Parts: sequence; structure tokens; C-alpha cells
Amino acid sequence: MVFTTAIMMVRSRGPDEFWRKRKIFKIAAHFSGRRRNCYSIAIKAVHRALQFATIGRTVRKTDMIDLWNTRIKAGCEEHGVEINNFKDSLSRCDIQLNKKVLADLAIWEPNSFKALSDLAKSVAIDYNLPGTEKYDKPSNVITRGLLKK
Amino acid sequence: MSSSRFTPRGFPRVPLQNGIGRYICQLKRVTLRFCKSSGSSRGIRDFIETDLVSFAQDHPGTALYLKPRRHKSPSFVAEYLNGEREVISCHNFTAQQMVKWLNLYTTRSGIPLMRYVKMWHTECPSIQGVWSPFTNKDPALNITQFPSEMLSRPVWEEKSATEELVEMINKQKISDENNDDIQKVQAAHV
Amino acid sequence: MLCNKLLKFASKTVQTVSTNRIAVAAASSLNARSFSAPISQEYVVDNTVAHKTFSDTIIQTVNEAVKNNNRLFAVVHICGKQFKVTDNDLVLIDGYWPPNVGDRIKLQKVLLVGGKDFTLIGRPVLDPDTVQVTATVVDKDLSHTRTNFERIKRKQYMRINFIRKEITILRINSVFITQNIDNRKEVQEMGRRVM
Repeated sequence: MVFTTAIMMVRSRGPDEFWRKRKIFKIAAHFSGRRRNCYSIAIKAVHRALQFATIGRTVRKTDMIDLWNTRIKAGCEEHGVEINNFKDSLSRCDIQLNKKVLADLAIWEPNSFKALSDLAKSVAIDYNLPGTEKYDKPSNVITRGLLKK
Repeated sequence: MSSSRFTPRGFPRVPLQNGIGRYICQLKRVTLRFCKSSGSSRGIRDFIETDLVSFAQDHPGTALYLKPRRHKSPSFVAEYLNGEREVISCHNFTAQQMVKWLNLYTTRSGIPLMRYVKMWHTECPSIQGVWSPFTNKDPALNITQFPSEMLSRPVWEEKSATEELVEMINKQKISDENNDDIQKVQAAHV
Repeated sequence: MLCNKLLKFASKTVQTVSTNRIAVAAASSLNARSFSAPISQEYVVDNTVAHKTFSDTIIQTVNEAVKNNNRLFAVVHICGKQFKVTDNDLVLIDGYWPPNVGDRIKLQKVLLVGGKDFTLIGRPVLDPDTVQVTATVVDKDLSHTRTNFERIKRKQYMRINFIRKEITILRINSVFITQNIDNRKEVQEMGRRVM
């Protein structure tokens, strides 16, 4: 006897399964072990990877800011200014250079950075910012009190 | 799909140093492949009838070829001055979409699609000289004998109480010129 | 001589006396003596002339250095971002930016200009007549496809989006200083929000 019902009970999930899974395996090609060969494990790994990639884009920005801050701090310490006073003085002078550019100047144009730090020192002393007792007023900066509002 | 795996990464480059002298349109040839009768080619056929001539006139540096091929999906091939060749399918495009995509391909240079690591490129990153640990150091360090007494002193010492008192007294002191007169005055009062 | 007499008289009051100028206020303050404040006397040297000559010599040196036409770098503010830029640099600008391919542009917001021997720092922006940064738009393209994937686990929430932003590549043609740095216009803008 031929039992056709059992065969008919097999439900087809659709003809596109191969390509649906191939999309996932393509992304998981460089994963290790079963995460690149077995679909149900691979799909979880792929979802995680894509999430991390998306979140990482905002994380990268904070990472870069930290890196720039580290570099600016190092540059300031070399010239004997505290970073808070440096930033404060520059903003009081209406100098709107951002962290990325300040870090670039500290690396690639050290003389310009020194000029900025000398300026920041003398402005900080004019404004009597905390921590300026340790600073020697740079003799090469002439503000004539004009930078103090 | 996931960019980092399949899109190469690189730095911004422009072929043939475009822009240093004058700007040169990098698209050298566009070949439109379409079918004269199928429905998917309708948009491209409309474009050919209406906007093709004005497009060709706007971009005199680009050669334009038409290849009518039966029973084929429409596409256009953009070839660039640096040898890159890109094939773009225009299946079921409208004439406006054709205009939009063709204009995009004229403004591109032939560099392949890539994830840019930095958003700038210089040949001369430093004019004043790159920072090195010795840039801001006194060159006299080269000939100092270590241990050096000068360099072993603390960077900044707080004023001791004695020093502060001495300073205060010195401030109150009147200058040496008037000292004799003041002493005379004080002597007279006494 | 009058000065010396005033000094003797005023020796017990709080005074700061300038050598160049006689302290006319001394006469009035003789009556108001403060016994609580410590007795002190400072000689303040009037530095204005010395400072002016010092700064004039510096400005002159800078003007001469400018005439050497050496390579200058500038810090330029474009579309909310700042770039340190020299001649023949490439700058990539993210997002919609109207200038078309082949357009020659003069960049307005120059925050800093420097060379080997000098730096000009703008507060916040340098005079556009003095400092000129010219550029050409070289390439207008779409970025690579970015995949935005959001998922909240166990909540049946999953979204995937593909995005391609417009990018523009700008070639900086030149950074140069046109005139003496102490040239000032007779009529200047005040109080305009620049950045």
C-alpha cells in the first residue's frame, strides 16, 4: 500500500531557503567553528556582529575624543600648563579650535601649539585661574589687558 | 552587506591629481544597453528620447554609446579615466532616475567604493617639523652630566612660612632713598 | 620735585605711584588714611611704549616672513568640522553640500594660519581679506553602504537599514596671505555670529 498522507504532511518552507541562508553565511564567513557553518548558530553570531558594528560607530566618536584629550593633555604638560586652564583660557579668548585640530597641532605643528599654550598661560594668569600660582608669566606674550573682558 | 568585510578600506585619493590644475571630468565613456521593446527598458527608452541629447551636451568630455540588445535587461556601463569599469542595472528605471544616476556617475571619479579610514589626505602633514620627544627639550641636555643638581630639584616648591614672612616685611619696607629722611623724622618724634 | 615731596608726605598711606605720571589722586587720599591696611609702596613701571615697540617689531617680522611665500597651513571650518589643511590637500565632506563638481571655492572660516616661523590665531576667525584659502570640488559620490542593525533581544524587535550618504571630495588649491597682517579695514563688522 502507498501512504501518500505522510508525504503530503511535509510542509515546504519555500524555495528560497538556500539564498536566505546564504545571505547570513556570507557575513559569517570569517567566524570560527560552527558559527560559520551551522545556520541557527550563525544567525545569532551575525546579529551580534551587526549590532556591535552599529553601536561601534557612536563608540568610535567617544574613543577619538578620549584620544585627542590624551594628546592635548600631553602637549600641555610638556609646556607646563594645566589642561583645564588651557581650554578655559582659549575659550575666554574666543579661540574656537576643536580637540581634533589641537591634537593635530600638538603632533604636527609643535611651534603653533607652544604659541597657544603660552597664550593660554598668560591669559590664565590675567584671569587668576586656579593653579596659576605655579606659572611663570611668559615674557613673549603681550596682552595689554585686552584679552581680559 | 556588512561593509567592513566586503568593502575595502582606504584613504581618500583622487586619480590623476585632479583639481590641482583644473578639474577634469573623470567619466570617459557611458554605454547604454537596452531592449527596444521590453517593458523594463521603457524608462531608458524615454530617457533616450527626451534627455539624452542635453546630457551629452552637458558633458562634452564623455563619449556616449547606445547598444540596443534584444531580450536583455537594461543597464549602463560607466568607464573612467583610471580604467575602472562599473555596470549599473537600470531595470524598471524611470527617465528621471536615469538622469539622476547618470549625473551621479559623471561627478564620481573612478576610485572603487571604499570605507574611508581618514576624511582627509596630505602630502605634507607637517610644516614646522613633527613632534619628537626632543622637540621641546633644551639642547643643553645633551652635554649635562648626570646626576645633575639643577634637574634634581623639584619643579615647583610651595613657599615656606619663613619665606612668606620675609616677603611681607620686604614689601612694607620703604625704599633705601627715603630711609634716611624717615629715620630723621622718627628720631625727631622721639 | 613736587613728586618727591608728595612721596614723603604720603609715605604712610597706601599708594601705587607711576614714575611717568604724578599721582594727582595722592593729594585727596592724604586725608583718607587707612590704619588697618598694611603699609606698602609699589613702583609700577609703565610698559606701554616698550610693549608697543616689541609687538610692532614682531608684526614687521611676520610681514616679512609672509613675503617669502613659503608653504602655509590653515585650520579651516567646513560643515561643522575643522581640518588642518595645506596646498594640494584632499578633504572629504560628509553629507549634503551644495557646491558642484568643478566649482572653485574660497573658504571663509579660517581659524588659524601658520607657517614655519609664525602662526596667526583667529578669535574666532581670521580676516577673510588677509587670509585666503581656495579650493576646488573634485568628486561628488555616495559613500559605501552602511548597515544599521538594531535588535532588542527577546522582544521581537529587529530593524535593518542600509544607508549611503553623499560625500564630497574637496581639493585645497592654496593657502596664502594677501596683505600685511596689521592692515585693518576702516569699517568692520561687529557682533555677527560667525560659527
